[in-house]
Amino acid sequence: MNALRRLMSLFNVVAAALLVAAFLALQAVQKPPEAPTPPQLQLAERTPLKVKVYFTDPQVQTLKPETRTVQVTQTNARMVAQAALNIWAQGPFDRALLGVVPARTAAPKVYLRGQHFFVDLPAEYANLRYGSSGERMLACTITRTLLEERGQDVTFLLAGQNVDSLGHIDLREPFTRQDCADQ
Amino acid sequence: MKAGTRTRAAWTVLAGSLLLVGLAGAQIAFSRLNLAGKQVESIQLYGAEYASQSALSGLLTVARDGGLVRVTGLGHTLLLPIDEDQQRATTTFNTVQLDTRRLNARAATLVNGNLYLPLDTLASGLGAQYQKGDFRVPSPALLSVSSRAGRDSDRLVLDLSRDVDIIDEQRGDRVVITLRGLSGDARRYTTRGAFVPSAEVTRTGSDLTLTIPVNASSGYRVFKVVRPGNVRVVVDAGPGVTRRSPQLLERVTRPLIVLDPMKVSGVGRDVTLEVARRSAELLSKAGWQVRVTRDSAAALPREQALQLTRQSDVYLGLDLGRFPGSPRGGVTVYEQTGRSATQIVNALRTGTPAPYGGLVVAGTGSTRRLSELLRGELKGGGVTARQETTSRLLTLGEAPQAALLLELGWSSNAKDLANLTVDDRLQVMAVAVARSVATYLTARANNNANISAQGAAQ
Repeated sequence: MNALRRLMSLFNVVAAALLVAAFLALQAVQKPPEAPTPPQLQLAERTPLKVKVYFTDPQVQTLKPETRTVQVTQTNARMVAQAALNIWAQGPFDRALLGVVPARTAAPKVYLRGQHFFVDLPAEYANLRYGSSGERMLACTITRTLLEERGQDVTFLLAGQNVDSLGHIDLREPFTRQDCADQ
Repeated sequence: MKAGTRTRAAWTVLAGSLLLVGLAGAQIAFSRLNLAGKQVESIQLYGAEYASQSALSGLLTVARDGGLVRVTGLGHTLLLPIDEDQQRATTTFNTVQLDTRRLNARAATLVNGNLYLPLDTLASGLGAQYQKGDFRVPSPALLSVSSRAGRDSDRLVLDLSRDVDIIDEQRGDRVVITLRGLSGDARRYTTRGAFVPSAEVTRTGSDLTLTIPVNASSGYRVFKVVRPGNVRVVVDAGPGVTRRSPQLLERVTRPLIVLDPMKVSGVGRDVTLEVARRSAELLSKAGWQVRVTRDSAAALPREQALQLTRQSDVYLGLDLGRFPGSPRGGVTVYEQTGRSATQIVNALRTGTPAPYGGLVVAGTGSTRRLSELLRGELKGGGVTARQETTSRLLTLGEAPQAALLLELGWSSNAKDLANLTVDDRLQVMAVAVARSVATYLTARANNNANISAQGAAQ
């Protein structure tokens, strides 16, 4: 009886309880976490949209529009503008027109802030070395394509930087529709 | 009861009568005024007709300065006190100043806080015809031309019905005085003077132009004498008048020609530089000041080239067309259209012409003239050049004077490349450039040259 009482002393009971708690805690932390459920894949709906994309005539004198259909997932103005410039870089379907940049040239990136478009030309555009007509056509086909539906002006950057010119055309100020009016 | 009714009726009649008397006694009535052909509102104040500051602003400049109002226009300056006592303002109690005359006349006043001016006082000061409801100013016309021969200067006097803006410029061996919006007969006058033997009045659009010859030792001055009924424009010319030609005139005697050959790689011979070099040589031999923006070894940095362009009297870019896949060929002369990058250039090109403004910034007509001369010279050498307009070219936009881009051919066109290897063709182009620039600048100097510097030019 005495031995049982000594065995069931307060210290032994508390120690045993702590031992059990420690064992349970060890079990709990060693339990492998539940695998997270992967998010359900949602396919975005692509909307076909008609846009007017400008190219040049073979004489590099006149801006020529071509109506093309772009597939956009969101119909916000920037996405539509970017899709139009992607088409612009790919070149025209009509064989009577000329694309402004060589095939497989990267399309410029376009940003929209309020009524102002910002077009970031890739660094390789600095090596195109067109004459003045060609360079003007490059800036004006982009300007007219972007400002066809909305926007006030287009500012050109080269590789993310402001530049004075690609060689001939003044890029210090934004281009407006008037700068690219039909001659 | 009857007496009471009668009393009430009497009071009603009395009140009505008082109201009618009050209305009749009101001293402000609104009326219409024909102000120099334009219908505006006026008021009748104690029997005098007044017009508001806003109604007069189309014809005159009215500025309030403390207790005074300053009226300027038609060559006159009137000072009228503002008398806040409306009744007193309509009397001759106040003193007004009409140009240099001081007299007692109706003054300006305030009605409901707005400034009103008496039309009869204004008519007296401006030399206008006035009767109630009708304020007429004479249409600007040249009434007569008279002359007086002097010992060391001659005088021409032009009598005008009213004041107009005047611009005077010395162009070569003559003085041209433009009288804006003036009507009158175009004719030639002869005088007995030794220094101004003749004067010619011609019509230029809506303006009249008076041209008088001046010799190398003569100066000239133009001033106006404004009188109540008319205006006199007085022109003195002769050795007795000090010469006061602006320094700017001397620029035409030593113009700067900038030739800017663009570097085109991958076409073998540097044809743009070759043409520029030959043209520069021809022009330099003839005594013109020419700068070429590069040579075969080095090119000016872009900012320095642009600085030269801004200083140029003639800027000519030389380039080859390049565009992948384009079959285009031939020679093209480009003229820039649209706004310039520089504010002063835009202001002078689009605003009212300023005296000698053409020497600071040339209009688009100068570029067109140079373009025509260049294409004519090229045609004379057997080279047909197209004319095209362009916009937003950096260098052409910086040039304040005549500026062109000459495209010698297209590097993507085999025929053009073959042509450009022919030495004679390059020589034709170089000669065409040199001759057209020299012809253009000579004509410009003849129109604008400071006659004292003519010797230096020659």
